[in-house]
Amino acid sequence: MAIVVGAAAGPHSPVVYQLPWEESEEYVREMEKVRECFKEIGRRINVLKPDVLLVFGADHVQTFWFGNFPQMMVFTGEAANYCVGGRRVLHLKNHHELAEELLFGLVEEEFDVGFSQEVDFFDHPFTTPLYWILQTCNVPDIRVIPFQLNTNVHPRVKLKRCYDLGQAVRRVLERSKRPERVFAIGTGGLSHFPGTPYYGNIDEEADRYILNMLERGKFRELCDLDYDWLDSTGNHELGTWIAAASCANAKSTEVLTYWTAWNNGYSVVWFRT
Amino acid sequence: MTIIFRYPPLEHLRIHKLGYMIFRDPDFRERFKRDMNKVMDEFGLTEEEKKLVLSRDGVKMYDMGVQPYIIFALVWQAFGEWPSREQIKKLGYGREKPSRVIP
Repeated sequence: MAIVVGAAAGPHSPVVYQLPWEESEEYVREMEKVRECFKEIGRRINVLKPDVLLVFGADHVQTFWFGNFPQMMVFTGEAANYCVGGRRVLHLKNHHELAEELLFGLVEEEFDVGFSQEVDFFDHPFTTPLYWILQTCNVPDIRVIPFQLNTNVHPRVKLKRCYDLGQAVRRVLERSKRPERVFAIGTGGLSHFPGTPYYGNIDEEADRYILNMLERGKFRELCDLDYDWLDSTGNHELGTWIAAASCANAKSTEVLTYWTAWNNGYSVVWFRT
Repeated sequence: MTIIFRYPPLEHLRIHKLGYMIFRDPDFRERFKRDMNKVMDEFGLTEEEKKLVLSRDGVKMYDMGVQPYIIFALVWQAFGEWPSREQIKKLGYGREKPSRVIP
């Protein structure tokens, strides 16, 4: 049987990958702490020795176009390029055998997940956290599985559905005859309003509410939040975190960092199982 | 109901397609910057849509229903710029965020 050995979550902003504008020393120092937390996750992953990083992320109209925009999609191809703003940063092998098991098993579980065997690239929702985690994660031959969860273009996958998806992923893996160890990662958040006139705001009170609930293991209770509330607080990407926590059967959460930058509430967390 | 990351209105399909290409393709970005009108003609933008893109008015685009990630591409990424603290002050961003209740 395949097993989920752990889970974590953190932001995916291109700014975390590389700061594209001049900032204060304090901003630069705090951003470095966020990156260090991703590196810490990479070191902890080494201890767990997973074979696969299962990454729940949301496309930002870069991999997919409105000609075909999936709510849920698992990548079942051999490998993919991982870019930021369309510029290649990583090329990573995909665990397509396990991805296929997830696809078939999830449809059997009545999650009508789409699949893709070839994409031009995945962008920052996958690239940014993987880039920093893989700076320190040195598990030999580790492969990835990107899992698209639409949290960014309405109508979107509800938090409850993300939680249920995580549980279904766990069941599918446990039924499998494959031996892989899987580590789940949720990417995005916390409060931010990219591309909108609200950009430049964050919602510290809402972020701290979410983090407090996560710390106390109140994952199901968070699923009562709807996209009205999530959009109002800039926390529209929370579903990816919920999916990662759920598939690891997380009991509580360790907040490695929370930083209130002027443009984004940045947090990196480790889900305790 | 506050939905910020909205369903893309069909009427903006042409603008959205232009922004999608800018968002994902660095070579296309350069071509767009070299001759914006020619590229916009290729995408079939109306005169009004062309004016909107050339205005780089992200606030107006948002209020007209253009998808936020496409706005990011059209206003910033197309020109190799980013919404830094100084830039957004100049362009009227930082609108007061919607009200909400902490549960």
